[in-house]
Amino acid sequence: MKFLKLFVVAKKAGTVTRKYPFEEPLITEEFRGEIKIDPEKCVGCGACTLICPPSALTMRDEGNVRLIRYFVGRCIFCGMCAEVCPTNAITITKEFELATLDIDDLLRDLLHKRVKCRICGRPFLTTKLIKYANKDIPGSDNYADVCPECRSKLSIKNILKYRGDLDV
Amino acid sequence: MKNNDVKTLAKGSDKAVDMVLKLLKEKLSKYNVRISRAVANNLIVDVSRRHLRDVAKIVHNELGAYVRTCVGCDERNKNGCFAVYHIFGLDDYGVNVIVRTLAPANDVKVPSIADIAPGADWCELEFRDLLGINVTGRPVYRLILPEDWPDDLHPLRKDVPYGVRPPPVKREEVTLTELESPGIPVGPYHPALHEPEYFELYVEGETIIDVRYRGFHIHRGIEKLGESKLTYKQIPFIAERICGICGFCHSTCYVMAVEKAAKIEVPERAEFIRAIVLEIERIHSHLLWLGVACHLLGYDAGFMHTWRIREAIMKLAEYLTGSRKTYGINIIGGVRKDINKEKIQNVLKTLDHIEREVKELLDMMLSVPEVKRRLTGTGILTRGEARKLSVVGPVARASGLNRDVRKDYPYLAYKYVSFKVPVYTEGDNLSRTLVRVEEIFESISIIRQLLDRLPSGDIKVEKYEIEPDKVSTASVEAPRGEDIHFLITGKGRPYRWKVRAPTYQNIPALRPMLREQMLADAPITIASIDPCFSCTDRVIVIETRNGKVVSVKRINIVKLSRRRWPQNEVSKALRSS
Amino acid sequence: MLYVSLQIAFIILTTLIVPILDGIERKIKAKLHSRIGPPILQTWYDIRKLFAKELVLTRTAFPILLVSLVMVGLCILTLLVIPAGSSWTFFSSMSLPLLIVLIASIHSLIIITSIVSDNLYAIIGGFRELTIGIINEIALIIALVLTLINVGLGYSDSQITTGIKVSYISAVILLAISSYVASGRIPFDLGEAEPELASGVLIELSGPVLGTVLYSIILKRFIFASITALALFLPFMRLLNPLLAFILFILLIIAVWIVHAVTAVLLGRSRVDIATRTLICVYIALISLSTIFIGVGL
Repeated sequence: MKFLKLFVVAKKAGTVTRKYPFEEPLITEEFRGEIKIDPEKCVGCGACTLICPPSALTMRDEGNVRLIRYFVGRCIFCGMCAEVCPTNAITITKEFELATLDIDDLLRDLLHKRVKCRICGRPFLTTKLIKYANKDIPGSDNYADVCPECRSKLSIKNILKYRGDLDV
Repeated sequence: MKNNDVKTLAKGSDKAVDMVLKLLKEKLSKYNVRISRAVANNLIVDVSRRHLRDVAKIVHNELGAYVRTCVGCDERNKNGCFAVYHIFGLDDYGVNVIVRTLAPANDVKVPSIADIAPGADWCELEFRDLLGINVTGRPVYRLILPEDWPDDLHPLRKDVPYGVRPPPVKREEVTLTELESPGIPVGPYHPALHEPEYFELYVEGETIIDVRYRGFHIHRGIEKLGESKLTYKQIPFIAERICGICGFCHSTCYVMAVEKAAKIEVPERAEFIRAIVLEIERIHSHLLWLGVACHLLGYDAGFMHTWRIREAIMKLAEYLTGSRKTYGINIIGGVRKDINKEKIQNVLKTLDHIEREVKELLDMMLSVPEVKRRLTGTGILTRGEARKLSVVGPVARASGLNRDVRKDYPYLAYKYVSFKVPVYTEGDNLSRTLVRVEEIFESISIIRQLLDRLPSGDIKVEKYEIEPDKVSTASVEAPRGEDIHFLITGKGRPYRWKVRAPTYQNIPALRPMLREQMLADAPITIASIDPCFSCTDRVIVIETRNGKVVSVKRINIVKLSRRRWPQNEVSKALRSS
Repeated sequence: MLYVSLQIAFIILTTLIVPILDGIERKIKAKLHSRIGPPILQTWYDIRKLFAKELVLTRTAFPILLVSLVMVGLCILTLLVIPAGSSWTFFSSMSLPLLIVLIASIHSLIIITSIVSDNLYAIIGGFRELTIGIINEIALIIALVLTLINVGLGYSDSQITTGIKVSYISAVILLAISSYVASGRIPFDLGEAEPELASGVLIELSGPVLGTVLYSIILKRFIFASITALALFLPFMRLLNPLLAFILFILLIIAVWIVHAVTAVLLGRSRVDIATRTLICVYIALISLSTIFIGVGL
């Protein structure tokens, strides 16, 4: 006869379901939803794209711009990108109602201008990343706008010049 | 191998490993073997193919080891051979004995040990399918790859890229022997099952006389991804998605394997937090299972109320980790989220509330006459069969085998808490239910003890280095049983990563369980091993477009479900973007 | 004239409110499950949705359309035979056999739909229905006869007794149990066991045919609730004026329906061999008890 206790159990519990989406959903303050990249703070280093497990954050260099693309459809909302971002540009919001009929709604792009190497003319890093990387390094202005290949050649030339082995 | 030394032995310690080393040297002295120590509690026994069966017989039968899994690995770019690792576990010592044998690339075959250790049956077929290592001395058939996969393409070989999509191969329809009794298809899509799997039940009237299983419909290529595309740091998140219910166990098991291989000292606080979340996952999984079992028995009230209580656990998990499931807090070297005092108070309050409600609910549920009558005496698995098939988890404990990874191969913070392992001997569906019910209450007590003794300190280690070519294993007691990950480290990503989920080991036990049962009890018996087919099937998914003509009635449903497999429009759009 | 109009009102009211009664049952089930549940009109919405779908019939199963319509017709015919309130004069000596035949036909039609479907699950479901159905029908018929013996089987008004005998009570208990089993709810919904048989007898039905069959299943439940209500109400029918008796009768049917609904939520699904054993024991006990009471003159 103990199965009749169902009445007691049901009465104590009351009604626990909610008429979502006509009522608010229940999420705690720790909930991880989609991420937001602050375009001011982002320097285009690509650390988030290296750590992202499903490759929802991807980086592509094309011509004069570096494109950081966040595809919500692949995101697993782990928040690792927010942890590795050196400038804290990525914040985790509580948005999870992201379904849409148009897949383009799920692509969030961020474009950075790339700096052209003053010697060979090829674009390499973003302006902001160069500024960020060289912030605290003294004497780096000489090499800041030179691409890595040209930089190594230039620094060897400068060393030889300094040692007097090279005639200018 | 029981003597007084074993009883007081710290399982898995260096002393235990030395004892096993001595034992092995003594037993295997007449075979030309080389025994070496691998990481932590693992011993590698290198044996030639000629003596593999003899060594396996000694380890499995004489030493009483259980089969844990076996792994095939393509090591051609290391030593020109394919390697097969048979992992046996000695529960009394907490030590793994890994029997390794090599097969040169021009003669890729190894003898089978499935007749000595039936628990290794499926693993051998798996490495035959995925790596092309032939097994001699046993009947073979395709286990994992579908029938229209080409013959000479073995996905886990190192020269096969992970994105390969071969066109389907048309084959002649093989008509199996016509039986007089009709085969009832349960699956691949059936209301009783949560995931697609296919059981063919041969019945006479309403009594089942035989079962045939065909699974691996949702292989996803996780091992291959881990070995070719992902890096060490990304894999914990993918490992978490091997399963929707025991995901955290998989990610913990993986990071533990890497930490053992790289000798990373994880801070104690992180170990405690991992153990707490593991136990929360266990409570949630068992409540879910109880609800499902009630639903299969027609008692929907039990289903709704157990899931209502489970909702409190999901909220707790979100409060602690940031996500209701797929917590994402495991990283190599520790955890990402901490537990502060306020959270501890909330957890304890919730646990008190849940314990009271679960007790009341279970009292009510198990007294419903139909529930009790249909669970008692159905789906019996005898102790002998359970030992032969090396089953794990509640299935083993309900059949009288006292196996629990938390006690036999201690890991994380479990050595600091005391708890009971429930063991029943009847081996029917009711015992499996009662084992899970008791485990819920034990888990609540474990969490309370862990929260009480939570040490202070860091929660992760920032700097570490992972050296290549280390062989490591780690195992965790998932809600369904023992989950074991085998890892050979490489540069930047694992060289070989093998996951053996508990359901993989338990499904072969369904055949003896379902024989002589009523058809009506088939769903509840299948559900009583708590199958998690996402864990079980792990290789590349193949979108097949079947070109064969089927005239045999009993696989009509299989054909129908395959034809209705939708063309993935979204994935096409993604690939082009 | 009043009795004829009351009987017609009974049938019209039934055909309209029966899905609402099913909706109330789902709401009660939901409340016992701690959830909100579907709106009360949901069953009407479901039937409307099913009728909006295309009609798909397999080659061997095209008679199912006819069979489903015949089932609804038979249910409505049965309602004609059940005296609503005090239209007892409608109930003649042929009514009881007619009632029995109609109920048996409805059951057999459900079994026929399952066998014609040519699907293993439907066949198994059909055989289960048959097994339980045969045992239950026998008990139902005996219970009906025993109940109506006590009120003179309607041969003439004067023979209806107003006292309640012990044998009447045991016969009513037997009738209540067998009509609950016949209503096809848990624990005896073995024909349609969804987790076990993927909807058993209903597996091959879809669209308007499924809508019709579902409607007739709900009507069947109403019929069995009204049989129980009739047995409980018979001794008092003559004491009230016709309109009041009619209203009270309807309310009693709804009360019986609610009791059926709550019982279904409290229990789990039985298995065909366990169910037959239990039912045979219970029925033999009650039938012998009732016969002993009648023989002794209680």
